[in-house]
Amino acid sequence: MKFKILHDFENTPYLTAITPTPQTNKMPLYDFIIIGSGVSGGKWASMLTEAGAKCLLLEAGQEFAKNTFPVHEIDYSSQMFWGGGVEANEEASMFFLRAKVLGGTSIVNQALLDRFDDLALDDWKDRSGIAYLNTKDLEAHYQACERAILTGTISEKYYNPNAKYFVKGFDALHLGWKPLVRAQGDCKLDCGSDCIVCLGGCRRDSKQSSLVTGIRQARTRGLKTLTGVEVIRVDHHSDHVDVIANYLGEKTRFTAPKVVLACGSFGNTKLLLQSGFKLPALGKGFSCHPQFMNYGVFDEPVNAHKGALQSVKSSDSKIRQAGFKFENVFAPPIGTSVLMPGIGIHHQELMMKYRYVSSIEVAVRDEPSGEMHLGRGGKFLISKRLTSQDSSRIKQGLALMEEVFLKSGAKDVIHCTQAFGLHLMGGCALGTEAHNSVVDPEFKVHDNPRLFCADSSIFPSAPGINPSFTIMALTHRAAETVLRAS
Amino acid sequence: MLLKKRPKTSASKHLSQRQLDVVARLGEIYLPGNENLPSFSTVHAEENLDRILNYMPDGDLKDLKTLLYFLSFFPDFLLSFFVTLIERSMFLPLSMGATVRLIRFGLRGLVFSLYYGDSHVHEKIGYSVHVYTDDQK
Repeated sequence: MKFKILHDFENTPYLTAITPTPQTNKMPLYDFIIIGSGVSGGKWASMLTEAGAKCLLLEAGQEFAKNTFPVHEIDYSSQMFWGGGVEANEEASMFFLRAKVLGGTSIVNQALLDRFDDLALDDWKDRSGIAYLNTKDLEAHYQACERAILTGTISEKYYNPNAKYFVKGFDALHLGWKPLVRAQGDCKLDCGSDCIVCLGGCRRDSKQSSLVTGIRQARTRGLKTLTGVEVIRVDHHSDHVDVIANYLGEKTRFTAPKVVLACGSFGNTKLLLQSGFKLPALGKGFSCHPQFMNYGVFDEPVNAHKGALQSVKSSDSKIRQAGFKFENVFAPPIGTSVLMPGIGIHHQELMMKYRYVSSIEVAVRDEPSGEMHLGRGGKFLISKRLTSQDSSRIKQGLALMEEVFLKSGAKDVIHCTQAFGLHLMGGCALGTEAHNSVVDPEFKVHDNPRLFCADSSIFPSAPGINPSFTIMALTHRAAETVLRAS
Repeated sequence: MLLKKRPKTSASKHLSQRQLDVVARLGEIYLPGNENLPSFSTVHAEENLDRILNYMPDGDLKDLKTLLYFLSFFPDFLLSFFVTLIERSMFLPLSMGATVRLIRFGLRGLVFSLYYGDSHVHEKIGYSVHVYTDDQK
């Protein structure tokens, strides 16, 4: 197979520098190649370059900045997500949103930061056999990550009516709630900023995405980034790893002594399957916190799309034990229309209530029952069926959500039946044994000591908690481990 | 469901006129309009097609074009019946209904994205947003 020699067709310094080296017997110019630029990829880049390592970061999507993010929902949905907007499971019963842009999901999420609790980590420890998976050992990593970014909560005076109704309903039912901790700087809510726009990228660089934190810092220390690079295979050798990618219409090879996989649950799993890895646990244990959004209808305008989009969440131990969580959230018009039931005049009448509805999302701590594999023609397939426990939790969560709406003063509740997944986890589970895991306690792919991974693909099960902060913390631990060994 | 006058569709570099006409007909079924909201054709929502199709994966685009071509042979009443039928696919067993559910989600997603991505429709439903940027005083 022939590969394009990069320095033959581009003259930029970094392209010259990544010329495949083993064939020319030169020393590699990069110590690490990082594949994927989200929460984990950005953190790896920051820590490795800080330690003096030379890194190349490859991203399949394009790069945008605060003044170039697509303004309209129709454009950012199609330009910044895999599948041109959404992807589906094999059963087409559930849909997934996965960012394809420099900065990954951290560009399009609401930057929520939650530490995992004993309930989540005890389960991980049991499944993986790894002792450091506990709140005490992870705390130092959480704190180190916290120090590297700006964080805050939304002040109560900036709660929009959607958040206020959430609080009112929770208080009326004597359920615990608390403000969401967010990775954010100054959103200028006092000047009337509407954070729903930031679902297509933050126009103020207030959101602490990996693009404005880890990647930005790493670039000042020599990180090179290449966008539009879709990696299709990694080949592990005794002294280096080859990364084979489609880039600028050509099959291209990048080489480094060590490679970090940071493409998330779908990306890492697909890449390892395509590369012919035969680990028995590869592709197994997928979970996604299936989410449902329902709407409470009010007589007065709610304007849930205005101001701070997400401010509060459930914190009640009974809800946590029951296996689900609530967040106050809303979606722009296209997202809302897809979730609203029905078609025709009925659907349009529901959409006319857009300004008059509040919204709550229930996310379920699902069992890791999903499996990913390659189908006919090498097509990547995700099989995800809800178990009876998942269904029972969903039913219970939706019933409680309805009570919250009614207690908050809603006149009616609009039920949406479409499940979607934003937290894509598993497929390359962390563990001590190669027969039931893919990544070892030192974050190396079993029997492949030059391949590292610390993102959501290594989650042994669904925590029932927003995963971003723990991806950061695990990556922090992984980078420390790798640097110490080096 | 009565279909309104079939609109004249504008060109897409990805779809033939026949396929474009089906998108417009589907648009009128999903979004016929009422006294508060305009119909799909009134806002010329199909003009936004390439903002989506330009970024659709090749395999998905091919499947969409095949589906639209197939549906182009359906008379209006049959197309309307087809849409009503696939709306019920959520209740089909997981093992049976995957393709139908995928078609449902694909068509809903396409038509709703075109229509609710339109600024005129935003105005009608009261969607207006603003972010204070650094260059603003």
